[in-house]
Amino acid sequence: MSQAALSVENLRMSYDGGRSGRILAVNDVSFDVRAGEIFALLGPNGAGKTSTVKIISGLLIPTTGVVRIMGKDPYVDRTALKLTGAVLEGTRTLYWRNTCYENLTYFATLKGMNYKAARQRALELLARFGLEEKKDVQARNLSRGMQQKLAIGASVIHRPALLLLDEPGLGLDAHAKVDLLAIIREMAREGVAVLLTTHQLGMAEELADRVAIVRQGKVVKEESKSELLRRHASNTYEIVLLEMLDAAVTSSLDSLPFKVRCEGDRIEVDGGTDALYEVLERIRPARIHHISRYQSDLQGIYLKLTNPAWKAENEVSNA
Amino acid sequence: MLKTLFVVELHRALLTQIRYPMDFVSGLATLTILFGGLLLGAQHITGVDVFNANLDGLIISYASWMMLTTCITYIPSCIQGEAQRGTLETLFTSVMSFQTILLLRAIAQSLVGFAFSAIVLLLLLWLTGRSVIATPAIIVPLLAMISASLGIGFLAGALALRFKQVSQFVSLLQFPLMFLMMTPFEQMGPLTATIASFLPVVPSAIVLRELMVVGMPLAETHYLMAVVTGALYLVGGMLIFRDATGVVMSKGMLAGY
Repeated sequence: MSQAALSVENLRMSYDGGRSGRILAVNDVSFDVRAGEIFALLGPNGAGKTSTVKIISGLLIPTTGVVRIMGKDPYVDRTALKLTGAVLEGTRTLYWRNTCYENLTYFATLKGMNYKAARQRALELLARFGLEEKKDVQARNLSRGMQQKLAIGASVIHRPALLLLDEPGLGLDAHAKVDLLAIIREMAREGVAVLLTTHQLGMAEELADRVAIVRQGKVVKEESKSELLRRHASNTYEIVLLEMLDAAVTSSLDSLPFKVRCEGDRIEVDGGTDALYEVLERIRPARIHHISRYQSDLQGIYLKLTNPAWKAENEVSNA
Repeated sequence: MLKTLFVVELHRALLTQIRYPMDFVSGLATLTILFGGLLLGAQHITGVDVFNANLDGLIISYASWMMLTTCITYIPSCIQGEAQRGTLETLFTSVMSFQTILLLRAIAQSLVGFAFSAIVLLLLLWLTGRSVIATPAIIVPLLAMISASLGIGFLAGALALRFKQVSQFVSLLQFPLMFLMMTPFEQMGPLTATIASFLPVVPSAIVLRELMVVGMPLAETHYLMAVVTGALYLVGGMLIFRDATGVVMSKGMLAGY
């Protein structure tokens, strides 16, 4: 996890929105993704995630800014596209009337592989993704999960350094999703840099090493996932007792200057570590079963950061 | 790289023809009956024995028209189909330019179309008990005709890239094509003939007529004009298509259907 497989610098993309005037879809976005890293781009609909991915894929010419894939600009040097694999629009990237094998070999030749190497690699990927028996089955006759595996296979058949996945989990059932997560992790382990956009925060939480949260075309937070979760960790503790508190102790907790909620054998303390110690002093010598801190999840953080009311001064500028 | 992609495209085009046997057989039957119907209809209306008059000329004209229709309509239809399927953007992520992929596909499709036409013609010859000898001299004007048609196909493709749903417009293209191929511009005076020789497929059609109908030896200027216009329309069409691609990509209009 050292070399920057993808580097995005000050990307801006605006288009004519008719009566709405000029619309800024991507607003000064910068980030990089290192080899072997899974980077998740999160944001609500219309936040600019897909536009960003399409610019990186060489499909949408940016108004300003630079994309470099292993140091190459795809808009100047088309060989940069040989280093990239992309799954866009869910599973709608396959030829439905062609078999799994035909799809794989075709996409391999589009990426510049010779036919012999394409055939070998296609067979290798079919075996690896558990699609060996479906080799001669037309893509339209596969389950959605298998189609998604095939679409990913087609995007990595040429061994790209960068894999772009736009909403890869869309419409997949639980089993297919587990398989998909395993495949993406495996790709990253092999050194492929993965850029993932998803609405499925569970998927991002499970996979991502780093996340960027995008709102109105702008990156409002970019951090490693573990750091993000740590910094947004809750200040709320729960104390579970082995006995009920008497009324006098309970009412003494009500007078504390922070929020304390007693319910049966449980006490919820919202005020950080100092508040926790103060409550522990008050309830002594009640026997404690355990104390735990509420965990923040990516969804909570995402909802907070993509809330329009979130203060502009908290935003992280990439400029 | 280009050779590999061409072979794969040819394989795909062949597969599409033979994977669905009912479609293949009904296509053959329809085109055979249509050709036979055209000949019988012409004979009935004109009273001329078209089977004896110039059957080889008719056969080549029919095959050329089938092929050129394929060349002109293939590129816009292909773009519409790719957009509908959702694979259009994937083609743009290739290391080869989109117009190169389309050109290779169109050539592969034309070859398959030619083979398909040949089967139809063999069927017709077998049914009528006739034989035909096609002179190799028609190859150059035919290639020039195909090049010009592909150029027009690229122009129509530029529209397809922007508007996606262009099937009605594409089917209308067959009529001006038929006009350009069938009108004897060379008999309309020197000025008209000179102006018309700059139109797509016209010089090639003149040369073909000279070769197969009038039986005249080839005029070198006609031959040259056919080759030059064929190349010019192809290159011009591809350049305009490339520019249109840039506009569509910068405006974010590539996706969608």
